[in-house]
Amino acid sequence: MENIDINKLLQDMLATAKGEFNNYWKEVKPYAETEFKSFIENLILIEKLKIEGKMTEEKALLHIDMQKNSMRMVFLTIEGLGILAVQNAINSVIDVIRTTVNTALGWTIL
Amino acid sequence: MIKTIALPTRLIAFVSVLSLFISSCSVSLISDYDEITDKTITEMQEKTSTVLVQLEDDAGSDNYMLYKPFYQEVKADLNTLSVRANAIDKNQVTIDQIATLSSNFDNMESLHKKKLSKEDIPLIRSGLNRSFTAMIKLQMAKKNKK
Repeated sequence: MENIDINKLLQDMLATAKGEFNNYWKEVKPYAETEFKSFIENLILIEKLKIEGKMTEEKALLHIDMQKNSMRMVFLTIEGLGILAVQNAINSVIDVIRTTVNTALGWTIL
Repeated sequence: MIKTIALPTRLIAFVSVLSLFISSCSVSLISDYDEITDKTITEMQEKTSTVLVQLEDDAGSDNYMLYKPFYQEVKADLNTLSVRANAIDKNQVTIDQIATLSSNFDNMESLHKKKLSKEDIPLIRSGLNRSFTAMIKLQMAKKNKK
């Protein structure tokens, strides 16, 4: 794992995620970047502990599974934030229609 | 005479239809904020943080049985959360998150059964913190939505 270019891996992960969450990537990028970095650092630490004999393979696999699960959790949140962004955009447009129609009519009907 | 009556009638009909459309047209694509879900997740996070601090002091000792009640309590909390989440419409993201969190606690318990070392704790804490942060972040976003 020492030969892995952490920055390149991080950039690759961010590029892949950007492709998946393109429409609202700008909003979620800072969050994703922090979490991806932490994920990579933990994987490297697990490998280091295993190489140094401070962690058994069985334990290492459980730790890796935990880190994968927590990454899945991050992706689920990004997905949820995206759905919320779309919902907010649609409702904002509806609000504009509502305001325009009410203003044009001169009283609150919608 | 007929024309002057017909125009307002059409206008009223149009406005009524538009009114019905717009008033019923607040779109909901994901479940609303649920205070109980948010509170339960936060309480679980606090409980877990406390146990991880204790485990850090006890690292290296074979103490799983001492902490078994904690895992039982967490499983009960997760079950309560899951039942509630399933009862709420358009809540699939939260349902999936609860299942993933449950899997992470299973991993933690398996590690604990093998005796936790000083090196295990920061990794467990990081994994669980990331999971809880993700869940709370989504709940807060729902709370703050327009």
